[in-house]
Amino acid sequence: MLPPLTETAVEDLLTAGPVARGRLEWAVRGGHLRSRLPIANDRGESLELDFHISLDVPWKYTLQLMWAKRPIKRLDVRGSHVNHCDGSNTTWRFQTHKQPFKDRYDLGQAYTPGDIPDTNGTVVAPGEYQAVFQAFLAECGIRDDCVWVEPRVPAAQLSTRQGPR
Amino acid sequence: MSDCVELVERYTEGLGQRFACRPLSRDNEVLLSTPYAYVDGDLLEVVAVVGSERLVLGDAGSALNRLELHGLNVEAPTVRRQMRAILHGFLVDLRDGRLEVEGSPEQSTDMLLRLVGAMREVDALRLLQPQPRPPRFEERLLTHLRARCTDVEERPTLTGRSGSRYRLTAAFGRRDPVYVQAVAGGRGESGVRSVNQAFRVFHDVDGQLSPERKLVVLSDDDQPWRREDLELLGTVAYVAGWWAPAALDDFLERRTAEHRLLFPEQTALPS
Repeated sequence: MLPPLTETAVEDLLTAGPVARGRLEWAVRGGHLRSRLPIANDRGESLELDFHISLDVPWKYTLQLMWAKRPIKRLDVRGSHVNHCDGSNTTWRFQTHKQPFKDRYDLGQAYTPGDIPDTNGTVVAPGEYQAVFQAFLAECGIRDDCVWVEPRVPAAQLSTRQGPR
Repeated sequence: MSDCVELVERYTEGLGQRFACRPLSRDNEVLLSTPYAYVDGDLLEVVAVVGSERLVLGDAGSALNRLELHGLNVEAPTVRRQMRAILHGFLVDLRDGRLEVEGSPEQSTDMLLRLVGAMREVDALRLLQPQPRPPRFEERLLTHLRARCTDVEERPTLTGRSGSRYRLTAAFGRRDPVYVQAVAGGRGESGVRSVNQAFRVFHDVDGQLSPERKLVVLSDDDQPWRREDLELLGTVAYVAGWWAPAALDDFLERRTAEHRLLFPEQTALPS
């Protein structure tokens, strides 16, 4: 049986010496460039970090930590979100926000992180993907011992496909 | 009747205020953030390619991507079948992993509603995700070992004196690695098989490897271990228990221990 997903269990797991090892491998799948990195940890739990970049809109990307295929922390760079779940209706439009797992709201309650490099505007600054990746690891308490490989973001596919006639 | 008109007017006015737009790299492309939300509060975003006579609206692959972010295999036959039904129902195309609708600019309202409907329905397919299973003991052990050291070879092979080749769980460390074998199943039938295999391997490679380079790690099984099996394994290797990780890590670091069993024997036996 898998341990139940709770805030306490997530917190506890992230103190079990998580470490990102190996090398990022990128692959195109659907409309996204994707990388999945296993996160080693003392408990032997299945922990993975997903990094997805939109091919059509490369300034929008998502980093997500998964525990046994269950999302537990998500960082949505320049994404759109509304906190319906807590009744506040706080809204992000093309703005970076974080969604940690909460017992009450699952991933529904976002906040603006203060520990992520500047992602204002709609241009990916040189080195931004790596800086954001490293900041996300640090926020999750994951030691960074992996080899960073810069994603090769091709020209937006939508613009190269057949457009309106 | 006037209440109804007022209600609709208020709704559509509020709806209009909740759209936001960003230009994309080509002049005729924009990204729309819509007022419509997925169940987790993420707002649906739509790429619009605007021509004078034709309009293409698409999700830039986000609906399928979200399914994968929830651990769902979008290639699974059940998922594909359900997805086809949804796309058919909303008259939405799937192109290169993206949901898209195409029509004239005059049809934009209808097109957007169809696309939004399909995106949300596709997102709901996450409920088809099977209950994830806990990792097998061998995987857990490998994950633990990788957290301790960069030099972990997965499933190395060793050749015994008999000429038989064996695949073990891991080789830990760069120089003179410790060969590690995961053993799971306790006193059950699979546990006995697993113990027999570990004994066979480490007995057959005796002489090639010093004892401190042979390590069996027992799972913390529901069925406690048999004393005889612990004795047997202890004759050919050091034996650690998953329930005593500090002793396991200490052995991997120091490569020596006072006893072959790296835990108090009674902790592995039925109480």
